[in-house]
Amino acid sequence: MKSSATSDILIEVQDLHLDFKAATYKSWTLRDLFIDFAKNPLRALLGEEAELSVLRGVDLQVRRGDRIAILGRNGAGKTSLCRCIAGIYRQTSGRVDLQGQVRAIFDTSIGIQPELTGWENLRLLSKFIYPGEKENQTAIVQEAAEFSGLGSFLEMPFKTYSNGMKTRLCLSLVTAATADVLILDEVFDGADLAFRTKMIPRMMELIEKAGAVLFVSHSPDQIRQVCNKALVLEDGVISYFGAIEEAIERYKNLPEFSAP
Amino acid sequence: MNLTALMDQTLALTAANMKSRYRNTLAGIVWVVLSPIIMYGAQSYAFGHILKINIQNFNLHLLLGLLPWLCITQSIQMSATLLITSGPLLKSYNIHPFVIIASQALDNLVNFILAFLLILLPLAFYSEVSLPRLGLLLIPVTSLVFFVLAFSWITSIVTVFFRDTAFVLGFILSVSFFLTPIFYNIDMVDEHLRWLVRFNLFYIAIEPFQKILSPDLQLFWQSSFLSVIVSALLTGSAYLLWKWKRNEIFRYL
Repeated sequence: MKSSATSDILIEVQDLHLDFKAATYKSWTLRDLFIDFAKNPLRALLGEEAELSVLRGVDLQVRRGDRIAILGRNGAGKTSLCRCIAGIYRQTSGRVDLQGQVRAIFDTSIGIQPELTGWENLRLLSKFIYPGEKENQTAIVQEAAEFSGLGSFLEMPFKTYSNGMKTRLCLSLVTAATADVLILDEVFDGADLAFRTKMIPRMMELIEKAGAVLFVSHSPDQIRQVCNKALVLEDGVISYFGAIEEAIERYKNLPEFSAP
Repeated sequence: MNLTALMDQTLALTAANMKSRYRNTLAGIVWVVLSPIIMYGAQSYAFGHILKINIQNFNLHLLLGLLPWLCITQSIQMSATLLITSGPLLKSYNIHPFVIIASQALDNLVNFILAFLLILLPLAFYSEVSLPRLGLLLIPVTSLVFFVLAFSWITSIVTVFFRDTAFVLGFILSVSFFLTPIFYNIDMVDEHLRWLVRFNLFYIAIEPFQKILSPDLQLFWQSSFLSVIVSALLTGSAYLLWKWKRNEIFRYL
């Protein structure tokens, strides 16, 4: 992955392929390995590993101001695509060119240290979510704490929080400062209706100020509220990219899930 | 992400780990530091006074072997399942998994250095080893840091794919304690078996600590050189393993 210096294109994905070694997902134990080796030593040592193709030739351009919903059935490759863009996965082939900083969040109910308080987790998480903004971290944490509305609960250990409270805390932090690209993977799922309603204008403001959003969700209503474009992933391939309503319609009519 | 940000995150996570571990405890870090000291005291008495192992400066010899050993084994064992237990966290935020391993190793290293200094300084006061010579320990300590980081990194990656690694590792470490010259000297090992000890990675990391007591400083430099080479090779291997299995690690967590 590398940064490009082009105008308003924030993400350019070209012919992206992502494969995983299928053998990795067997429940190997040392005993299994030994038995496999004893059965056929040559195949165990030299045999080619089967590969699971997760993304197959994805091309995507994300411009400043784009709020793109990513739709697809389970296993279609939505999260894998987001992880490739976020730099968590390295693509097998193809290119992911980025301009600016990407902020990605895939689960908002996870704290780093459950034993520590909400405040302490906020401070710690800010180091990971905003690594390049050391001087702003205190202000970001303060703002996120206020927005979360958790008040005195922030003095309680994170492990005592309900899922909704955890989501409030993490989502408040991840949306506390602008980003060039924001990747949100089914992050609203734990939040209650009131907080979701409170979060939408904040996120829209965030998007207005900078960058673009990749938004993974199975909820058409959320997508209509947040996004201005949508893409549909089918078996690791983008089958549609364009208007939201058309994408939702295609998503609803997708055939039943089948492994690639 | 640059190195400064990684270090900043590692230090923050180490501090948070320590704070989290010692919260709601009676004496916090005292137990962690006390544990190797008690272990050292018991072994010093058992091997030095009951079994009367005949080694010059036995108490220092034991200290310089046992505490690095405890640092290595505790770090490796605690890190073995760390990637798996941190799976949800690593898949939720863009956190480099090495930060998790490094913070655990750093946490153990702080405990090791505290316990080490607490015993070393009084012992050194009553021994004939000069303070400048003890200062040379910085070399094996630095090498030990890389050894522990690399070994922990490798075992934690292997554990992602083979969940019984931690169990096998525990067994290997228990046996290795007796096969590593910690409470005895390598000269006590039968000559025809001594090559086995020479291939023991743990001993390679520990030997320069003990050789600081040798009248011939050349032995210290030789063992330190070997230790640095092995630590560098391990670090390189750990890096290559990470590069090779990166996607599968995340996928399989």
